[in-house]
Amino acid sequence: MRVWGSIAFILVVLSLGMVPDWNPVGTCSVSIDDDAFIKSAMPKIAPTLTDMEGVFVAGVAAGPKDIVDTIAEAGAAAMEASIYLKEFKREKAA
Amino acid sequence: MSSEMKKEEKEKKVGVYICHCGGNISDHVDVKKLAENIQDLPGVTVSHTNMFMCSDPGQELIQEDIKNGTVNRVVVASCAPSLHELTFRSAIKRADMNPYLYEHANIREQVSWVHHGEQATEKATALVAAAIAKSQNLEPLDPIRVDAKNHATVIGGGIAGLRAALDLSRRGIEVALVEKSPYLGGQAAKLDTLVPTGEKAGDLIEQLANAVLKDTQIAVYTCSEVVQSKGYVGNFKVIVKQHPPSDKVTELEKQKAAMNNPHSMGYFIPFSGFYPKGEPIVSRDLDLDTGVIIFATGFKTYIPREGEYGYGSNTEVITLPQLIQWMSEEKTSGPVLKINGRNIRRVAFIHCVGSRQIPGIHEPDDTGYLNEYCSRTCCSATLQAANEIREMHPKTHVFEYYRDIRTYGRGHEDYYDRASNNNVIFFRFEPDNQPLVERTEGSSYPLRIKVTDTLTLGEEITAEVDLVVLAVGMEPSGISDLVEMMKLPVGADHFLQEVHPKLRPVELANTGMLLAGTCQAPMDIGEACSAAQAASVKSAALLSKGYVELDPFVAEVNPDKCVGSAACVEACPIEGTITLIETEIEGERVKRAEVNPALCTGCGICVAVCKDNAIDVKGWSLKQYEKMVDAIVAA
Repeated sequence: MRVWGSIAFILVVLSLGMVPDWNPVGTCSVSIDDDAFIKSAMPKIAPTLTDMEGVFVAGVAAGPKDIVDTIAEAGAAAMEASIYLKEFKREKAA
Repeated sequence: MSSEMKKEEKEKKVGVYICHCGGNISDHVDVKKLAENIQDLPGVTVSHTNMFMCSDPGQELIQEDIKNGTVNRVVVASCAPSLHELTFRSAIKRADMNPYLYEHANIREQVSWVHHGEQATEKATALVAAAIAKSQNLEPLDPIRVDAKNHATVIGGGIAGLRAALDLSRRGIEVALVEKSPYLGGQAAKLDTLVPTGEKAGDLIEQLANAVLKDTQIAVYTCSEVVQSKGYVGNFKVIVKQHPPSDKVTELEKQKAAMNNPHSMGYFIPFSGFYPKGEPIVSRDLDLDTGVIIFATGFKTYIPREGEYGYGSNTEVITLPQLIQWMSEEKTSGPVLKINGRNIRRVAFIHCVGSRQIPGIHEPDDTGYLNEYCSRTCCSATLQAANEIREMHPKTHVFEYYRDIRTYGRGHEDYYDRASNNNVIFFRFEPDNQPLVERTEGSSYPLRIKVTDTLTLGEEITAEVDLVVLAVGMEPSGISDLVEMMKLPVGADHFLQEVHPKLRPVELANTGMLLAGTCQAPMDIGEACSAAQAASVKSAALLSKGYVELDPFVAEVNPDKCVGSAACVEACPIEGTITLIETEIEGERVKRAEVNPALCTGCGICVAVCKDNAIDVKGWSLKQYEKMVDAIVAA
């Protein structure tokens, strides 16, 4: 049988997880998922689209991820937002 | 301009800013002593240290000194110039000073990361002194402005390439999408049900491919390869070679034409890809004038070594992509999974095959190389397959042999929970004590797996199974010809390498060349699409002004010294950059060298071969080098 010992430490560091920082309820009608992070409408081929037109999501607001993935996703959100604004302007002009 | 102001400008006032890099530098270089060492050097007016020079307060320190007239030359001593030289030039520009009156001293990669103690401080002093000396010889320069083609070339028609093409077009940029194979969709076509949405990969490919093919701003070239590339950002000249597909593919296309959908721009052939309808492809060469090049060249699947977990000699040992294809094609129902007509009563999955390889444990390839990275997608893909088997064929038992389960993506952990609830049995092994796959004798099961299971504190467990599935990882796809042709930076993992993973994650060091998807690192479809969209928005930012600005560090001919020897013309590695032009000097027809600044890369070979010292690289002149060497010798 294995015997478990005990070890004394000066410091114990807890590696904490991420929790959603913001609940849109009451502010805007963008949906959240079961995990309470903002819901992505097309997580595979357009990850930054939400279920609200003109509202986009990037980074940890759409679920835990590292800085590298966050920055790439921020670029994707910038892409979608810039297209939305371009089309919005065109519609307004028409 | 008053003579007083002119005089004031002539006086070189160098501001030196030394970065701690949060301890990265200051743990080894005594930055306070360094600041003292250089503060009395000729020309130095201020010598500051700061915890993070790249931070807003750090940059503001420089800007204040410029605005109140304390400095007119800036030296920052910090990390490698590839990281933050641009940051500081921009800060200077925002303070209304010419951004090229700046010199960078690298005291992190070249000093604190490789030297310690007094030596480190001494070397840092020498490098900063050299930068100070050079900065006093800098002249104000203007970036070179050249027209940019509002056109992008995307190499690779996988999911990232399709995504990028679509976004570029939506931003009003014309696109050429170049795909080697006859199909669109890339490696994603080899998948079936996706984690965690449960969508079919084929549906997503059809959706993107149809949108791309319907878009009149996108020209799609399948069966095509980039064979030549010249030029620079805004003005690349790319030659694409197109070949007709093999007869086998054409035959397949004919068969599929039977299931023609008039609303679709082609047909999705599972495990091959989306075959675009249209005129038969003929052999031809295409010349493209393009502003940016986006690499979406994807990955290839690791092929297990002969004998790796019994692969090769045993037909019952297969890879995960093979299992996915067979399960999808056979569409078997019933309590027991059937593969190739065989009842699979027990199946074993082995994780991390061809990923997370460890020197000294795993066998390197012919070139001595190991895949030391995690392929990210295989854990979730394996659990997806395991759940599908357990839920569709409850009489088939599933064993998973893993080192670590990394279901890191949003919603992926649910697959792990689901697998536990589905009674998938997990065994955990140490990398230096891998499971052993052997043939059985006198058993109804063909294979036996032995493992030392760390979950049961090292118990040796043997199981007999009908099928072993290897969860193979991703490898960079074979694009060495493109890497060679376009001098693309490749990382230690052999994937294409970005400028900086956090600051410039989708850009290559080659200006105007961008990265989309798994040519850069293992990613899932969502991550690859994010990267593709980020690359598209970067491209749009580069091209939207109609012109691009290039660094002015290019060769310049001194017409007073040039005698037209043409040594530079012969030595220049980029054809057409330096030419001899005829001109008239004092009534005499003479030949003189002339540089096309847009083509010049500033390599300086011409400077080395000119006997008359008549050519020099702006911002890196011989005189500036001499001053740097003098300063290093004196330090």
